Amino acid sequence: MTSLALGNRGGADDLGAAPGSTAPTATAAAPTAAGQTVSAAPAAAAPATGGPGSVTLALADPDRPRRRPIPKWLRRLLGPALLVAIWQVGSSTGWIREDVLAGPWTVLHTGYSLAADGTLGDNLVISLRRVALGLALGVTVALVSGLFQLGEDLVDAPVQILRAVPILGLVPLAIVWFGIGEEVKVFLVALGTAFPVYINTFAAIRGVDGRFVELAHTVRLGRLGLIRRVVLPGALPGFLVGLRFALTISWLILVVSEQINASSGIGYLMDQARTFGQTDIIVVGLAVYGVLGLLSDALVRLLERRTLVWRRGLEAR
Amino acid sequence: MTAAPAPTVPSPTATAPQAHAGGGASQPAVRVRGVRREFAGREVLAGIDLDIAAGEFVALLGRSGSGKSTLLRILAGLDSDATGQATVPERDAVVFQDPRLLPWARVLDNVQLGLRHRDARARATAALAEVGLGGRERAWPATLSGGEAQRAALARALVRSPGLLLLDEPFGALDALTRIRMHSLLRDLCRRHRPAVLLVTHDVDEAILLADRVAVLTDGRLSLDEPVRIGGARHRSDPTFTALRARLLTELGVVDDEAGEGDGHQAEYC
Repeated sequence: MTSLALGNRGGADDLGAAPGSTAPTATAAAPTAAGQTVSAAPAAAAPATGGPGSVTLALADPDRPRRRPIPKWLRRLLGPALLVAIWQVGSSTGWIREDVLAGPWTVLHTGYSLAADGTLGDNLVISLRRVALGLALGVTVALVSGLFQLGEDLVDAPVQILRAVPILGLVPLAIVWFGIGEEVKVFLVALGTAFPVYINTFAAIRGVDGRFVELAHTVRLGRLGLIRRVVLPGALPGFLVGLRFALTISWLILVVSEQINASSGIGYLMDQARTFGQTDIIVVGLAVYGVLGLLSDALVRLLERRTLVWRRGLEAR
Repeated sequence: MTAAPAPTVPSPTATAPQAHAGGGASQPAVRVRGVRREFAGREVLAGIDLDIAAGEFVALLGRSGSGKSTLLRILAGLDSDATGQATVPERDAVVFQDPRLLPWARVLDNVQLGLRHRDARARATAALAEVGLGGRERAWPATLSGGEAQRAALARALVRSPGLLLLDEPFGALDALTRIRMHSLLRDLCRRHRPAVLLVTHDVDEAILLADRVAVLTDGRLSLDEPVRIGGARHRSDPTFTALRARLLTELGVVDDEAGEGDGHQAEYC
């Protein structure tokens, strides 16, 4: 699920236009390229060309009928649709046993009934709250240490050391400290998100162009004005990159901590289902996590589009 | 008092900027005495004395690396390691070689950056109109052309009604045609607002066309400092112009093999 959310951002947008737009020109060029006149020996076939050494460029013929390409999104949908179809057929024929993996139709049905009786919604809210709290905590720590010299002196070195420790390795210690209540999850998520946000925000703040700081001095911006008008807006792109990493990581940590010790949340729901062999509920949980990952990534992207309009590329859209 | 580069340039005796006292015998707007600056043991400024009267336009020429920008930065209060004495008007403004507009702020917000007047917005709008950018208030800096961006930077400087305008090769990055238009714009603006101006440039023609006085910085000292005595419209073919140009070029150590061509490459009129 992590890689899904990450891979999607570059893929969908950047690759989007390229193949569709280049393909027609490429094919248009091909036939003419064959008839390209390399006029080393200018024959009668090459009228009105320049002297020896000149080349007639292959340009598209405007009258050439072109095929309407299949829309990009439709072609992209093909793979997933095929996968689901195989899955459904496998389940229906009994090739995929129900206790190994429930069929898509069963999953859909279970998902609907879980949503209808409120089980899904309640647990989802609990999971979301954990992530939101952890994120808020992590972002605050990162901002404070990024903006203030004292914060940097106190926080930076320990952060760089602690960064080497895998967060999930702290789970046993966290359980000893906090028991199995809400605090463990919030603590772990906060810790996990603080690092990417901190590192990116910190780098972005330090990377703010010194010439702008100079300008701020010449127009008599105070320290607060400097932070508000120059440093924060300048660091915003880096912060958003960090936030995006943080979101994916936070879901990852949430999944693990909810499955290890919890009495509520999507992960708990899945863990319960495991004990009773209810593969349909497990798949529903997976789907919910996946959708949450996609949604949160889309949210940050929307935020980027809104706040970074000043970048020429984004403005042109 | 602005430059206030803490203890080293003790200049807190703020001279009241007399914006309308057109370069009279009164106290100068800028007073520099024995300013020194060294970088890693190399003395870039070896004791500079310079006065600029209120409303006077001084062009400072020098070869690259001669320290002319260093002097400007000292006067702008951006260099706290210089020694000596410098007194500048309380309100000053700087235009850098790059427009230096905050890319994340719209043009109008860039112009009124740091302004604390109640009518800052109206002033900024007026300043933009004055430099010919009326209607572009809400544009993003990335959408401006080089000349437009530099005009916005000029508006940002003028809106502060500075007693001293510091220009650090402001037209160096512009194409020749835009530069000509910027020259006449700057001339108009200075005539209207009458700030004391220090223009740092390496363009001799630009200096003679715009300034009331030209100075040359050589080996850390002002090796030449004289008024431009060309009344009215200045033209490159004016004998006084050519003579001064030749003298300045010699001072800068350049062999002027273009002298015969006169106003060859870019004909400019005042």
